[in-house]
Amino acid sequence: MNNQTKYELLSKVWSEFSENKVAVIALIFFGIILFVAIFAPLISPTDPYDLATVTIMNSRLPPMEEDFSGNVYWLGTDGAGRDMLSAIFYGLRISLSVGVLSGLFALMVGAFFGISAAYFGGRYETLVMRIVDIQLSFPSILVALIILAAFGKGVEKTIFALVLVQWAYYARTARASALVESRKEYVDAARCLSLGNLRIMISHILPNCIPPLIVVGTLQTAHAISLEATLSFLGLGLPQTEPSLGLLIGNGFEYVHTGDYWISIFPGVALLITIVSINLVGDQLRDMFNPRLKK
Amino acid sequence: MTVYILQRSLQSIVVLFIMSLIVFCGVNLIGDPVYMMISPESEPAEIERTIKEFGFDKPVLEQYWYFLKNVISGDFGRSFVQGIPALPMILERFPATIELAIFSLFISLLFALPLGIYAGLYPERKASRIIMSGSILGFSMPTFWVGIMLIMLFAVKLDWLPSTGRGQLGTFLGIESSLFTLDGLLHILLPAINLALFKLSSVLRLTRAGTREVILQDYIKFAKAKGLPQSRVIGVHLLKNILIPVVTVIGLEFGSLVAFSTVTETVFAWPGAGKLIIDSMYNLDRPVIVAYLIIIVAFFVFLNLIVDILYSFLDPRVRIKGSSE
Amino acid sequence: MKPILEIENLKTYFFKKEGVVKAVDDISFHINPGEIVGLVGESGSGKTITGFSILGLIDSPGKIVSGNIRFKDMDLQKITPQQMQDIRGNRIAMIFQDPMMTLNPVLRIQTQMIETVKAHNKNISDQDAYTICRDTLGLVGISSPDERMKAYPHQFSGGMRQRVSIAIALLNKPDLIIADEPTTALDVTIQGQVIFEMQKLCKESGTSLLWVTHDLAVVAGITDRICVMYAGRIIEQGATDKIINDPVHPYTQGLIKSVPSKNKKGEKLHQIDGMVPSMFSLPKGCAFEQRCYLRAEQCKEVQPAETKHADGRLYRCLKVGEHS
Repeated sequence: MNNQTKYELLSKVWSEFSENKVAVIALIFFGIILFVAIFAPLISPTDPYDLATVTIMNSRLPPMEEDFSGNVYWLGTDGAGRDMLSAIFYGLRISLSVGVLSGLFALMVGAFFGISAAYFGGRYETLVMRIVDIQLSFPSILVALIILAAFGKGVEKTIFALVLVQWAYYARTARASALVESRKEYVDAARCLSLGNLRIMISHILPNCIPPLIVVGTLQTAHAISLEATLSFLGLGLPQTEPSLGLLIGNGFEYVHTGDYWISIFPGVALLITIVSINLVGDQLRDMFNPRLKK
Repeated sequence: MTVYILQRSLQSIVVLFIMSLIVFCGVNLIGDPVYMMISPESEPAEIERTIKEFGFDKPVLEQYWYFLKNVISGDFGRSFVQGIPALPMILERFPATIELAIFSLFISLLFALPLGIYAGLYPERKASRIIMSGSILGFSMPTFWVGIMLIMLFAVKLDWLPSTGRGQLGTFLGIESSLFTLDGLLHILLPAINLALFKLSSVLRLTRAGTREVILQDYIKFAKAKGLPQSRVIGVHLLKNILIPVVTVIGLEFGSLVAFSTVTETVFAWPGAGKLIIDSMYNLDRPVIVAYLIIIVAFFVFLNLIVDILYSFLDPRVRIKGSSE
Repeated sequence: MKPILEIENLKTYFFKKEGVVKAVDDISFHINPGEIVGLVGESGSGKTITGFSILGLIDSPGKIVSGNIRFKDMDLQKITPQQMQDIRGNRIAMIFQDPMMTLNPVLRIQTQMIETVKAHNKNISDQDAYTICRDTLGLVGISSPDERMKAYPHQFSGGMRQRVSIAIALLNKPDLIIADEPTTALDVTIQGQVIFEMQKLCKESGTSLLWVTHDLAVVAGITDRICVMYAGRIIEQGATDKIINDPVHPYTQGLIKSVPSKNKKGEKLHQIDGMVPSMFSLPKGCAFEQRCYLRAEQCKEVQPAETKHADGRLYRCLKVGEHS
């Protein structure tokens, strides 16, 4: 595709997307969150993990209250004296990276299996899809727990668990669209020409699977972020050294009964905005790509 | 029909086998299996003895056989933390989890079905749009956070409901449950609402989608043309058709509720099997972990089987073979 | 004799995003007690919508825009929803077009029949209702009705399902039955049987019948009068034998000629050139003008009004009587 058609395609996609005002707002929010996550160290008022500046004397200050050296903490401080706002910025960074990274890996693995299953068919396809079906019949949290129980805790293991949970969704979606494409005549023609199978799959079948994969991708990323937060909250996901939003909320949980609400509410709100905005965008994308809803 | 049941049962057994294999491999190939039976902090002599006793020095296949034998006879070893046999420990806590899951399912259906049907019948109305937006919210909010919010609002701020633990048990028709006492109900209300909220959204969306599809069918119009009252058209003709996909989802939703109860039970300190597994994973209490996983997987396989059979039962087209056209 | 159903200047429009579809655009006809009237037209001509309009089953974005529908002494548009509900399935019954989708797949036949009886006879016992249903099944030629009652729709063949639909229509002994393509989905052999049975039943019980179809051959055999619809309007109506043997409107003439049995062996089948105009953009003048062999300039400008022919029939054409 040359640049002209790419531009036309993009503007067409955008005009359809922007029909839903809510989705546009969601996209803006997500953009803000992404910005914060990427530039956290630059825009964060303090470095909440710099042991030199953090002191327990500042712990559990409510929002907008001054500490004795005159600093105002907009969202208060947590039990160790860390600025909540900064902690949330860094937390977003980690939550988002883990979510997006695991999503990307899961996408690659899932798309690979899904497309190859559809393309090669036969027993291979049956085997792959049967595994997918069985895995999908278990709730994701259970699958994650099984994996973490076997492999233990840690950053890589959490990402691994998330990838293993998600690949099945991608595989199913990829296979469905790959099936449609594989049945088309030009694929048979290409096969006859002994074009490499890999080449056919990548250059011809894959492009057609991309729209539904994008839809699943957005919704699954939101799911992954939520799942990671849950696992970290339970103390089973990321370690204390990588404080995602889930961990922050988990840390704040013990203060719920004493009324220091800000330690868990604000990270929760940040998490909520992230997940909701991604879901809304994904929802709109799904409606856009759904032929049955075309009037 | 019987053939179908047999087929599915066979499939389930195969899946169970495979799952036991996975768990076995996971423990043996990843961790040192000795530490599945005994804590790593034990005396070397104790470890030696355990290795001999459980045959960890034997070939892998024999070990797997031992493992299977033990599992089938219910021997999962003893908990590192409490020292009592793992399986009874879990089974003892299951009723609390099941009770919570059932009550949550009840709450979620109570709201999701009517709201979903309403949103499906009148999609253009403002109330419907609000319901659908609400469902996205319910879908997105992580269960644990909702739980925290609920505690903050109802327990701490308003002090209407207790925030932790299970209430008193009462007995009714030979079943013991906290649902039968007022104290019990107060305690179960928040965790049940928490658990229900997440699934409520998906059931609601499904009901709405189903309603929108069914209401356009000819047989609905025909029912109206016969002069049947609206209540019957919706309550019988529509409902029975929607129930088929909904029941399927409910079956799976119930399993999901049991799985997510791990989170809710942790937040509300509800003494169920879910909290036990989380604590055990935290404490690396391997026997309990393995026992729980095997049990829960078996539970799921069984649940899926039941749902499949139920589905074929509800849809007469699957149950009774029709005449060829 | 006072007509049992009288329709005057009925207009039912559909307000869609792309435009307004004038599905029924100013039609008038009547049905006398005990009469069988045929409503003939191709798909999209508005005949099914006419049936739905009578029973008030037009869903959004459709709406009855204007006109009168009078059943016995009642203005069907002015009665309360409860009164309309009492009439449906009771005094006016409808047989739908597609027997496959008309019956609810998850309910037994007996459920769907008994509920029709009980909805309109509040005090009847279950046993009596069951007997009525079973006997009616026998009436429409379904053998072993007791077994059949317990079955589900998918266990029946298409022909039997249609018979069940007919039976349902007959349950409460209505004054008028609107039958929308009741035999179209059936095999030819079954068709003949069902047509014969319906005709017999109606004549025996004095029930009026509005037979809606595209199949001219069918209505030729059993109707007393015919209304021919095209693009939402009735372009010719009158006594069946007159219209069949001597049609005056060019469209009707084309239709009659197109019937295969009217062909001589080896002769090319007759076709009417052209296609029905899109319902979103109907022409200002006569809707048939483009395909009409009598067309003239004025046909493009003016929609023909209903004119009375010497022999009593009604037609809409500016050029009738002239042959090219």
